[in-house]
Amino acid sequence: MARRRAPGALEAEVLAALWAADRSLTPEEVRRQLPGELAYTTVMTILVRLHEKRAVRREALGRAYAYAPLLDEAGLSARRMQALLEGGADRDGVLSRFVASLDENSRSALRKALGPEP
Amino acid sequence: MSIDRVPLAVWVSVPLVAAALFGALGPLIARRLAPRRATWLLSVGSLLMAASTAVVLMLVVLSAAGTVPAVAGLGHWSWQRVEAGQHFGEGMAAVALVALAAQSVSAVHTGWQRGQGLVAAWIACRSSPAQLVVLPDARPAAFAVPGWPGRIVTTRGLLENFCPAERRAVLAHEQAHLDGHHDLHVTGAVLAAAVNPLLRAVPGALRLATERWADEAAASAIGDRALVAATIGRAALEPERLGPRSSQAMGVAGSDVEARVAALLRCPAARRPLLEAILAVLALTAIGASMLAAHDIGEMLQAAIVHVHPPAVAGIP
Ligand SMILES: [Zn+2]
Repeated sequence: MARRRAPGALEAEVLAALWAADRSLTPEEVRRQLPGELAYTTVMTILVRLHEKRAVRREALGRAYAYAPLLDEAGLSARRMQALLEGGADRDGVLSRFVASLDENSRSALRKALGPEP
Repeated sequence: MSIDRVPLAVWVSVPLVAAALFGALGPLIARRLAPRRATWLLSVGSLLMAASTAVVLMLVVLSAAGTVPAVAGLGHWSWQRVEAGQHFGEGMAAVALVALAAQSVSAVHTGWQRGQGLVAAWIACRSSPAQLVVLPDARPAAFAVPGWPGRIVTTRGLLENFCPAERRAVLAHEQAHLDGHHDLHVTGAVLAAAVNPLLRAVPGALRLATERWADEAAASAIGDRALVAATIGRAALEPERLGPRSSQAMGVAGSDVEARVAALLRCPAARRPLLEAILAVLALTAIGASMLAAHDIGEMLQAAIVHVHPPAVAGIP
């Protein structure tokens, strides 16, 4: 059974779901995208908060709103971060990646450990 | 033999021997411990180790410097008495002085580099309105940028190719790095290793421990260890398919990924009190010995104090 999320973690998950979609999503669609049983109002609250912070934009869709990630301010930090990484900011282990790149030996060992693709 | 009779040389060399043992055994033991305990033991332990060896070197230098009349004058010591109570030759003091200087330079250099990298990343992310920063990159990647508040950086490639549960595993992993202040643990060990090269294997082992800690946090967030293992596998194996990799660290990191996946496919690590105690005892022994050395040298210098008033007879006590 999955544990409860921290409040900040849920915001990141909602935003991640919006980024993962190729179009705007209604709160109900976002809710269905997230694992676990979340209340509609919980998702709605987070979307409103993200909108106030100018992290997402919304458009009227019938009587509700549909939400999509907003690129302006988020795009600025993404560009800065990308430039840092291309300059090798993670080379000395200052920033640790989720996974580092692997050589061929490690890759085949990993494939073996994980077994056949489901 | 009472503790007072133990020669000073023992107290001075014990921290060095303990640091060598900690540097060699620490990484091996840490792999067998639960990751949270491994992280704390390695970071706090290596800092205590580095501190005690630095204290010992300072004591050697201080003690030998007391035989120089100008230095002795500063502490109101009689340099003749300091020389009579001296345990360290000039050669040893010179070696200790050079080692101390090298340690300071190395610690400042390492701390500066690491601090600069972390601050640059924090500044880059500062303008982001949300905690999540998404890079326009097709290759799946993710990392945590510590700060107030910390940020999670990931790529479109990861968000678009990973299913909701996998996305949640990655986000929970990075969130655990931020919540556990893993960057501070790593910084501590990196500085300790910069001060004392005997500890050079510790930061790598500590990085693995923090990754395992974050993996366990992700596993309990989504309630599925095998799924976290599979997510790590996808993140490691997929990038090739989705685009060329940029230049980044290779080598040890590969075996780290294997170790993390293997740990997730096993049951969570049980408590190993004996192994934990070995690391804790080594660290406490080093600190204790350096304090006893400080005590001995403090007493020697205390005994060498000349009371200058009333009329001081030049130089001779
Ligand atoms: Zn990580």
